[in-house]
Amino acid sequence: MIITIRLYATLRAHVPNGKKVLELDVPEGSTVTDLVARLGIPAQVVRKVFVGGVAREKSYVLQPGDEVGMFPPIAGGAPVQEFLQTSTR
Amino acid sequence: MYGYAGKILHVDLTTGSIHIEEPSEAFYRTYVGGSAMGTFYLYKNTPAGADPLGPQNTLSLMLSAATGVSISGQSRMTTTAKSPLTGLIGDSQVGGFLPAELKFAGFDGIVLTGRSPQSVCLWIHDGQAELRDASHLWGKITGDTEALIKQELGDPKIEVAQVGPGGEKMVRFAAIMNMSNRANGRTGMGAVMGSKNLKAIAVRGHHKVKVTDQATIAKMHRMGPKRLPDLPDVHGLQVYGTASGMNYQNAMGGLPTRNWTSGVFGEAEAISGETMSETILKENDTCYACVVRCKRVVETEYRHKKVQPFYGGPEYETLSTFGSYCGIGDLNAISLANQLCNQHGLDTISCGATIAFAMDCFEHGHLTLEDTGGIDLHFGNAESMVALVEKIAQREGLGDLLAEGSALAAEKIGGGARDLVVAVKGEEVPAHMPQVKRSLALIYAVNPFGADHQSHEHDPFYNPESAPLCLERMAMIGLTDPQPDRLLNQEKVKMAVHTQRTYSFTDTANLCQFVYGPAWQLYGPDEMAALMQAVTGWQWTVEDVQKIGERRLNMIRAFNAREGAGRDRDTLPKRIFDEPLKGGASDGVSVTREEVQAALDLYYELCGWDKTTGMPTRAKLEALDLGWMT
Repeated sequence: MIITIRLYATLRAHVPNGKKVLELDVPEGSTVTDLVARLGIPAQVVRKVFVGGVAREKSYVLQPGDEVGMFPPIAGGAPVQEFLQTSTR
Repeated sequence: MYGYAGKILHVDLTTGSIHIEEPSEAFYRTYVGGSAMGTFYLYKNTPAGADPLGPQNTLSLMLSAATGVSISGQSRMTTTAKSPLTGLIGDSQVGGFLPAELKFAGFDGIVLTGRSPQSVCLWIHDGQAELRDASHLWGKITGDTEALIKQELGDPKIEVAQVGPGGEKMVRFAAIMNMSNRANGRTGMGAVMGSKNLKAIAVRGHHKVKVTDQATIAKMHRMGPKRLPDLPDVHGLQVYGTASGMNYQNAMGGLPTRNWTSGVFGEAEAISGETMSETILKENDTCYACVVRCKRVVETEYRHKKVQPFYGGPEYETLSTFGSYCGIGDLNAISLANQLCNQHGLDTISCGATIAFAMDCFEHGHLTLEDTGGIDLHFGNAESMVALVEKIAQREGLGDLLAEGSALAAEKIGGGARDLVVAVKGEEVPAHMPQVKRSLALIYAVNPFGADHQSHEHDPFYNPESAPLCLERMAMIGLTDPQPDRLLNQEKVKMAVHTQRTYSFTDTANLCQFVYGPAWQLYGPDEMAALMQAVTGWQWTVEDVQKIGERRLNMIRAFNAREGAGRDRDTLPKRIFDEPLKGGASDGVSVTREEVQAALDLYYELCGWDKTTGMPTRAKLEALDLGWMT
C-alpha cells in the first residue's frame, strides 16, 4: 500500500537528497515503527508522529493512503525511552 | 567593579544637557541592569499619568554586567518607557552588535528625558557623548540613515540605533531598530524615541570588558558548539531559525490563523522555515560572539520589489502575523512586509496582527471599501497586506487609524469591531496559543506590558514527555511535577511563576532567551549564575537569579499599580474564551474564564500580591528593597 510521508525540520537530513515528501510502498499491517526503519532514520530521532493530522504512537498500524508527518524532538520532546541519552554536561 | 562600565549616560533632550552618573556598587547589585534599571529611572523621573508621547516620559536603554563579554547570547539591550500602545510599562529587548558596542564605548546605559526642539542624533564614543543636528536625516528609512551617519562620522564600524518614519510619525507600535534589521520591537518604544525628536543613537567604542574569571567564561563558551547537536531546539534555531517551529505548531493546532479563529493553516508549509531554507534563504546571521546563528537573511522579490539581504529576513512571529494571521501563504509577500517594517521601524507582531484585525473587520462589514480607500481586505490578499504596511508607517488613509493599534482602532470603528481585537492591555497577542499551551493564558493575562510570549517557559517543556535535560533544569528552579500542555492546574501556575522569574532575570541581566533559560536553551539556570559570578566576582546562585527576576517583576507591576492598573487589566480577549477554534488538532478548544480566574487567585498568592487588586503589597515590596515604590 502507498503511504505518503512528510519529514519536518532536521529529519530531512536523514534521507537521500533531503527530500521532505516521500511516497513509499509498504506491506499491509506495517506500523509507524516499521516505516521509520524502512526509511533508515534512527528511531530516537523521530519524536512526534502525526497520521492524517492526529498524533499517534509508533505502534499505530498504517492504512492505505495514510499521510504521515514526522518531527524530531523539538519543542522540548525527549528522544524515545529506549534510546534516552544521559545529560551532555 | 567588573563587567559593568560603572557609568550611566543621562541626556536631557529639552536643554541638550548631558551628564554621566557613576552609581554605587549597591545600585548595580540591587538592580543588575536591563529592565530593572530602566524601570528605576522611569519611576523616579516620570510622574503618574504622564503622556507617553510627551516630554515627561523617560526612555532608557540598559545593558548589564555580561554585555560585551566573549560568550554567546550576551549582546542584548533593554528599552524601557511608558508605552504609548498600552499606557502602562513598556519593555522591549534587542540583540545584534550595538549592545556590546555601547559597553565598549564605556556605558551601562542611557537615560533620555525631555524633548529636543529639533531632530538630533546622539553620538557616543569612548566615554564621551554629544548631540548632533539630524534634521537632514528625518524622514529617511533605516538603511539610508545608517549609511549617512557612518559616512558623516567617518567610521563604517559605528553601530546605529534609530527610528524610521514609523517612529517619527509615532505609530503606537513603532520599534527602535539597530543595524536596520534588529528591533526593540514591542510596546512602541520607537514612538517614544520619535516623540523626543531623537532620530538616532550612534555608538563606537574600544574599551574591553573586564571580568574576574576569564577561564571559566572561555570554558563555557567552548562548550557551546559541542552541545548544539544534542539540543534539538537550539540546533533547530541554527538550521531553520525560529521558523523551525512553524510546522510543529501547526500540527499541534497552535498556529494562529485568520485572526485567531483557527489554530491550523492549510498553507503553513509554504511559509515555514524548511521552505525558506529551500528557496530564499541566503545565510544565517548572528549577534556579537554568539555561536547559535539564529538570524535569517533572505533575498527575493515580490511583484518586482526587491527584498534585500541587508534587511535580514522574517522570523517565526513575522511569518505568522503577516502569514497565517492574515490567511496568506506567500513567503515573498511576507518577506517584503518584513523589509518594510525594518525600513520604517515597526513591530512586525503588532503590525501584522493589526492588519489581520482589519481584515477580520472587513470580512464582517465593520470596514467597507470606502473606509479602506478601495483596498480589498479579505483574508488572503497579500498585495493589500503589503500596501497597508507602508500606509501604516506613513499614517496615510486607513494606515492612520491602524497606526493606533488594533485596540484603539476598534474603539474608533465601534460596534462589533471590539470583539475582533486579539490583544491584552492593548498589546496584540503573539503567535503562541493558550488554547494548546495553557500556561500562556495566565502569563498573557498578567504580564505588565501586555501579551508577551517571551516572559516564561512554554508548556511542552514541562510535560511528562519532555527531555530529561529540560526537566533537570526545571528542577533547579523548584519544578519537579510536569503536567500536560492543556492543563492550567496548581502545578502549572507554579511553573508559570517560577519560570516567569527566570525569564525576568534574563531581561534584567540582558541574556538572550535562546541561549540562557530553564529548559531547552544552550545554558541552564546554574550556568546563568555561574556566568554572572565569573564576570562580576560577586557570589551568584540560582536563588539569586530567581530573586533578581522577582524584584524586576515587582518593579514593573508597581509602576502599573501607580497608573491604576491591577487585576482588572489581567484578562484575555473575548475570542479566546467565547470562540472555540476551528479545525485540526485544536478543533473545538477554548479557554474558560473560570480556569483563568482560579489561576489568577493562585498566581497573586504565590507572588505575595493582594488578591483583590492584583497589586504588590507594601510588605512584599519592602522585602525586595522596593519600599520606595509605594
